[in-house]
Amino acid sequence: MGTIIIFDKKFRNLILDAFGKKIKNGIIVERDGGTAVLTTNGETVAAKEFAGIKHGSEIFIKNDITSLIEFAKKK
Amino acid sequence: MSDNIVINFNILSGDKKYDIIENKYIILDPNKFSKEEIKELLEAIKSMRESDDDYLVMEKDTFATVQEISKINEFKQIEKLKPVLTVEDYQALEDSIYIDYLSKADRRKEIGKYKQQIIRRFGQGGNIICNLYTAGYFHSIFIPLYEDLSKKDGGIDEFKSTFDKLIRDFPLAIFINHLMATDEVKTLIKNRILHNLKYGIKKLYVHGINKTNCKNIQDAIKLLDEEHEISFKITALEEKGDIILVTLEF
Repeated sequence: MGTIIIFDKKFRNLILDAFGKKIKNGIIVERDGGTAVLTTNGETVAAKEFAGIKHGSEIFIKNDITSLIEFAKKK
Repeated sequence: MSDNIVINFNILSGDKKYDIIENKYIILDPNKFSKEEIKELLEAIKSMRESDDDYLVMEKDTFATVQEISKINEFKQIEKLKPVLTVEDYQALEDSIYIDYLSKADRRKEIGKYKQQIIRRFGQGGNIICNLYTAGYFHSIFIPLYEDLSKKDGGIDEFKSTFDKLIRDFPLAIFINHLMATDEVKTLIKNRILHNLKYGIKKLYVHGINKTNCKNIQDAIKLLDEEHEISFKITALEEKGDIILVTLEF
């Protein structure tokens, strides 16, 4: 694992902005174009479900327990 | 940004904008940065994003949960069941391991939200799997059953069928494991019948695996019948190899 950035919930929007994303209607979308980001399972990511982003064409991770276990097993 | 560095965007007390711990852990408080400094920070993240370097960005409480999950050994113990369960049942089982971990760590307040997630994603079947796992049935019944059946021809299919049946029957079923003597089995069956009657349920499925349990169950039912305290009848008895299922109605 290279660089790990952890953020307090309060700075979520700053982090998303750094990755060229924003929140629209509660869903995380590309700042340019407004396309919703997807997880590797093809699911959209609600802002409240956002856990993080991993390198690899920006893999978005959701914060439900099934997604976190799947992520923990792969890392 | 360098390898193996952890940067934590967090709130710092006092006047500090950042704090460095052990040269590899940096805490930054963007609240205390100027607009220009924030811009530089975002540019640095952008460069990281555009480089080939590996990175992970994660909300801090979630990161702590992932670190915990990584240390739980029980995930390895259930891996043998992965080829024989559906994807959803296996995922529900893995989620249940974390709930069991929280329960054992006396962090029961956190369990509710994860239980809701299991039910939302996997329905009642997931809920039942969770209840069975936290009650110890996977280690005392399902895994030994799988290890037994997997050695036999057709055993895997039999395991899958038995597992599905056990999940379906769970609210009306009891499972007898090898640590129970006949008297204990008799008491368990009797108490469960009385419990079910209290809620208007007039049926009980008694499941057991291995020859000792099969015999104990049949002996226990015979003893219960001879006591004449509870009126019941055996409406079905399936005995296949080392597996027994007795249906009692009352």
